[in-house]
Amino acid sequence: MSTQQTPIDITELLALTGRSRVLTEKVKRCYALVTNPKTFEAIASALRGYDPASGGWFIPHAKHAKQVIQNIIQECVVEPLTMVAEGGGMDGLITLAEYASMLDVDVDVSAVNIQDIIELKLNSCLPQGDEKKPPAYTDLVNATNNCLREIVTKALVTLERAGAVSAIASRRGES
Amino acid sequence: MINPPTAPLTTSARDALIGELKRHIDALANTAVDVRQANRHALLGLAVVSRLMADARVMDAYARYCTASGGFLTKLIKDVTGIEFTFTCDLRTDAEALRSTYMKYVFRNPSRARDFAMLMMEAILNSAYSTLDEEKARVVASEHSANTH
Repeated sequence: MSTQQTPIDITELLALTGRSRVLTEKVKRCYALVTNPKTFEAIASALRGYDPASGGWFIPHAKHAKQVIQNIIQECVVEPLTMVAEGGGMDGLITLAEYASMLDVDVDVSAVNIQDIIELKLNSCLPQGDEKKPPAYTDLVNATNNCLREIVTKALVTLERAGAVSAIASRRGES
Repeated sequence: MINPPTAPLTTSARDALIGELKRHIDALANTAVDVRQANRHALLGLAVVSRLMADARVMDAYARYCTASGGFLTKLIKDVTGIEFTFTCDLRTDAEALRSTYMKYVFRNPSRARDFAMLMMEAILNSAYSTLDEEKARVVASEHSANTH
């Protein structure tokens, strides 16, 4: 099975942030995670399961895909962004708003939380299907991979920018 | 509603506020990545605008400038930010609308909010220039041009 993955690399990430600096350990780990093909092979495997009731392989729908990628999202998006967003009042909300707008999620972040933002994004980038007719397996895997990459990559960029802001403010003696 | 200071500004105080507003606009133009820093300058710029409202010359200058350029500014803001803003040409009313529109967008799309604040405050600054004497206006305008281009 072939999947269409959006290519990203560390150079692109640094170009997006506009500056070169040491990445935090969490960002490095998450970057390695979303650029490792084995991550997506594991996701693809997890998306297909054996259904003892029907005696065959079942094709899950997008709801299941969300559960499959939840651990990565929790570690690479929710936890680090929550740390940034909860640390600085209005600054934190603006950081979150920047992340949401990067994902093309049009929402007022003062009225929702980060889980809501990710849920909205997943709803828009994963094929939904329904209980009777799930989305095609290949479409679901491709969409899940691309969606996960976008969610994590843009979280990394947001964290990079927030980190750069802190570093510059620190050098200026503003924090 | 924004309540401007009631005591009138001295000429030097007004000139200093115009210079301060210019500095915040310059800073906004140079914060492409740092939306959090941009927000600080936008809020400080709004505070300066409210202080400038104490000067009747600034209020009059804004009304004249807005009447002449409001149509162009509305189109510019729409083209750059996608935001539809209707000018009343009363600085107090427009500044209040500027603040509420900015706050509406800053938690939704900070980059767009920054661009909007920058364009609006630049319009207010441009009108305020006309209250400066000719030589001072020339110097301030050339400094502003050098910082934003």
